[in-house]
Amino acid sequence: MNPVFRPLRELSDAVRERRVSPVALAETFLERLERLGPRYNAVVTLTRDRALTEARRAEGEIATGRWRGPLHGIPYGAKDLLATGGGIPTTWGAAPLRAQTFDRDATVIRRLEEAGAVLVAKLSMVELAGGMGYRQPNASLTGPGISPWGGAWSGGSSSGSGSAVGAGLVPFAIGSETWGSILSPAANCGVTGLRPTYGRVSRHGAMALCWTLDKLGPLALTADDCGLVLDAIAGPDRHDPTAAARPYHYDAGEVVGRRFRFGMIRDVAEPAEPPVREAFERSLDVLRKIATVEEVTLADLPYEAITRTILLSEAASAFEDMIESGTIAQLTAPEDRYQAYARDAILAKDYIKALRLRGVVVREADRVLSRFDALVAPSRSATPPPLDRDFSALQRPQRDPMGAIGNLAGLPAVAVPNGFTADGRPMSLQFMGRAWDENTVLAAARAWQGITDWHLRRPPVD
Amino acid sequence: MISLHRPLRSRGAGGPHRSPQHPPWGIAAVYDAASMSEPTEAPSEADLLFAYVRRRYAERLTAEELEALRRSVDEVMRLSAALRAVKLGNAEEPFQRFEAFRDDA
Repeated sequence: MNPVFRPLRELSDAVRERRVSPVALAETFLERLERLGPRYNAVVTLTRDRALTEARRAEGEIATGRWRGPLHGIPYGAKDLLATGGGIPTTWGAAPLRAQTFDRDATVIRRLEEAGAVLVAKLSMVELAGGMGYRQPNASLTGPGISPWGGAWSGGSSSGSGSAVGAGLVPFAIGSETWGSILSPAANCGVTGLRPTYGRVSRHGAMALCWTLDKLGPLALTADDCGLVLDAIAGPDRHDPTAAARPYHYDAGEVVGRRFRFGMIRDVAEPAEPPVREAFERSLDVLRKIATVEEVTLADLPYEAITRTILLSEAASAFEDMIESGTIAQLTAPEDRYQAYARDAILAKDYIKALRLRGVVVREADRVLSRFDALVAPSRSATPPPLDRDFSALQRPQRDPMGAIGNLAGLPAVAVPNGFTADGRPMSLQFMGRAWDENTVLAAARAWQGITDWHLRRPPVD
Repeated sequence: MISLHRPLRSRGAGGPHRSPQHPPWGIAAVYDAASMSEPTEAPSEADLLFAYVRRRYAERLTAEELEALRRSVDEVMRLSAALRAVKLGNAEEPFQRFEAFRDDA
């Protein structure tokens, strides 16, 4: 059995039935990461020793009948903002932090180890998760993230998590999203990405970019894969007071024949590039086979200004030491070396105003979403850009009301492939649901993937 | 190595540790730094805030970077204006609850 580009259930069945050895699996993906990872600038650190130790342990446990669950013996990669002990560096994608180490694992890494998963690599990311305001793909100590589809930008900031899954270098990966950092690489790399509800997954041991917006979640080949991973990493954590006590169990129940109710914000695709808009319109036609789709209007609020003010303010505080000391001058993207200084101009009253407006937005978003299973929209309004693109030179303004609302209100969303441009770059559709309703958005995404085959397309990697 | 159970400090950050200049805060000082061509004309909020930013960081920056920074300050002003344009009632609190704390609770 070739384990590359297999959904997790297939891999897991093969491991549990001892048709595939966890050690062989780890070696296969380590070899691919080593050989193909540099092509996509996807890898910061291969964790070979740790991977083989974990894989041997999994192999021994399964041989003696102790099966931990569907991730047991399955390799994965982690965005390099998740702390790992054992001397493995955690660089946050930033050149001045290339030697940074921590004394123990982040909670998510520990939970995956408890589930029997095998950490094979720390994956590339935009420096400081984009918190300094980068405006180009080349904004990481590992160079620009590259999509396996056509060599365009991988998206960010979970760049390596997207490209490594998309190129079959790992079966799944963990990324983080503050505003767009899971959905964007999922879209640009042609994979599925899940942004969980804020508070669903502990952030302990993850780099803080913006305490009230940061979320951790999986990128994988399918929505079902994402549900399996979320099941393993969700839950309360005494080290993270925002990690909610609400229990989460992935519901992989049958979706064939289920009718969904989807909403669509009026003109949500209007700012998108024509290929994205056309793919979205085609997707709506397909979705109407399994759902009603109703246009909705949101209250007129400055959603993007609210989210951006919170993000810029909290990031300025989170990285105060690096900004004040001038250490940011060592970052890769020239604009990341000084743009954060402008945040001294954000007044406290404006940050507080943004937090007050957040209350208005969360109620408005829930009012609208309470009538639907999910809101649908393009995951990104732009197609994957070339590596030399200055984002500020984009022809159309990069408006993202769904991202602004979803992240501001901490709502779950899943991004799924929904087509390709004429020159073969992937595009993506998102389902965004009510808080704590990951199972519904995952069910919608599974239903989509049950009647389309975009997620089954593979880039010409080998 | 950094402990996850202590406040994180980046030991890997080996860059220049220059102490930033902290000018005495005062409208007059900022007004002067704003380099207004018409000294009788009141400076805009953007002028004042950019003057503050420039006073703190100009020695680290090139003329081009300062120019870009000015545009970023203008963007901050646009964000602030959008927020201030929405009126909220006195009882509309930040959506971020404070809880009193007891370690033995």
